[in-house]
Amino acid sequence: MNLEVKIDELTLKNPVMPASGTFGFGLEFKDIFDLKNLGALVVKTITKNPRLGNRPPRVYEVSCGMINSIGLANPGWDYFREKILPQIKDLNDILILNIAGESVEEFEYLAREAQRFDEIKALELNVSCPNVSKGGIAFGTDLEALKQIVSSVRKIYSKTLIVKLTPNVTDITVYAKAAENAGADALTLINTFSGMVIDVKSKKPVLGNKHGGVSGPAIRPMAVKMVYDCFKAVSIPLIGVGGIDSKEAALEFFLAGATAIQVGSQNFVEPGFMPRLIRELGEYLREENIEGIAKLTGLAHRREENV
Amino acid sequence: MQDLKGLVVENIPLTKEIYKLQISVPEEILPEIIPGSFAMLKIEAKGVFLRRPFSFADVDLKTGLVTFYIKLVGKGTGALREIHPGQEISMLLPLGRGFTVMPGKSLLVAGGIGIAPLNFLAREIIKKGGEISIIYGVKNEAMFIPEITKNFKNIEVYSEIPGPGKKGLVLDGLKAKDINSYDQIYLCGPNVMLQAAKPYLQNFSGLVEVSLESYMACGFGACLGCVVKVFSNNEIEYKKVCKDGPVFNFKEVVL
Repeated sequence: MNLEVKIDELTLKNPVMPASGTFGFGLEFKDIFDLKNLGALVVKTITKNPRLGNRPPRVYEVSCGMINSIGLANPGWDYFREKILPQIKDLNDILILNIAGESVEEFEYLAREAQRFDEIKALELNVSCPNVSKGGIAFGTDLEALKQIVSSVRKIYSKTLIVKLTPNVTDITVYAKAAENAGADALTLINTFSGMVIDVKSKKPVLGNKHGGVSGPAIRPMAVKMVYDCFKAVSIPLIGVGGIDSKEAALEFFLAGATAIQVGSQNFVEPGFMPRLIRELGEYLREENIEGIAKLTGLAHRREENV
Repeated sequence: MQDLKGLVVENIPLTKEIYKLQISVPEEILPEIIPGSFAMLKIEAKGVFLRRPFSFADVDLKTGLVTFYIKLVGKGTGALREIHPGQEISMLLPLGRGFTVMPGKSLLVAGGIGIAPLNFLAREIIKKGGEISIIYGVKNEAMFIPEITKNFKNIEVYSEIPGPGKKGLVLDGLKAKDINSYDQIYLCGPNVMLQAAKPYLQNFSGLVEVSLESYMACGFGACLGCVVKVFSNNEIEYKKVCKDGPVFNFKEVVL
């Protein structure tokens, strides 16, 4: 049984990692399990300057999922570099830094900084946050802006470059291809769906920011389809994310075309979910007599051709 | 924090809106549970995705039971009311920063279900030799937990709608007290109560602590969803109710 997967030049001992923003900097989960078990550690989005985030309420439950409008609250790059990075650099061999910027220049600044740190093995560009007024989803839904950000970062950053796309577009494959052509080494599919909940008692939106991003099992079928579609459209590895709360849910993403997967909201519900998932995926391969998890990637497409 | 299974021992309605849930938890976790701390309970019901946070209302070291007083609010608390003795329940605990238990005279100010953590706090203060007075305000009979008044001697009950105790608000109880005769004050209750109490307590020289509630996804500091505005060291900051709180310095909280 072999859980190893390759994303660009990185070899992950297994395909399971947290989705940025659902795992803090990993420190909150240290009591629950050894983070070395993870395929990679993806940290919460870092921006150049500190961000307070949006006004509360910031989270609310929806049917089979949740909605959030955190607004990329984070302590900023300098604090991260000085105070957090030293604490987390040894938690896992593969540390992926997720970054966002309000401008191309901010992305470039962070890429330049990240390039200097050997302990950062890859960058994940967040061009898909629905909860900030500048940048965020605005970049991820504007094809020209997306191309410009990815190609600008590509010029500066020589290690593995991952781009996390938003599902809030008409055809995600167009954006996937654009990111690939601009130099992305892998794509993370997908960020949250833009949404809103209204409190019928107060007759006002529940969230302080009025709207937010929907995540959890509620969005899984759409996420699986986007991975499926993009698998046909691009040739770089895909990291699937959206409502993974069981082994079966994870397998759907591999079969649709994902090389690795990220766990998001489920980390809140079951902080020990990822190590359990890794164990169960290993057991699955053994039981099914499949030599490696990589064999599953895109298998649903091959079945389609056979019909 | 631990992720463990508790065993439901009792789940009984106390009023139309409040029920009492008692859960047996592993002995080794009990000493870590302090007044003001809370647990995230996993509710196995259709459509319920996130855990729900509940403050401990009591811990019995001898029997290994933890008690929650739970107000019926929505889907989660509705489904939790149906859980039976003998069923297992997944719990993350203990979570959060609790109250600072101090010697001397303490005034405890509770509004509605805010009595839950203050019940635990009151017992702890008495156990450590301190003195307590409680102001317990409720909206009506349905929000009033009779057994609370049996636990303590110095307790005054106020009810907004004529019912148990005197008619009036928590604030009436506060106004009737010489608050400067207390060494510290602890509060837990709805925002309107806290907002009304704030001006009265601003000049109080002792410690004033409040336990806050908030929507939260995780309960252990990862989601950053439960923040509250706090003014400290001349700076406005967002603090996490789950991890920096739920107990805060009342004077610093921006309500």
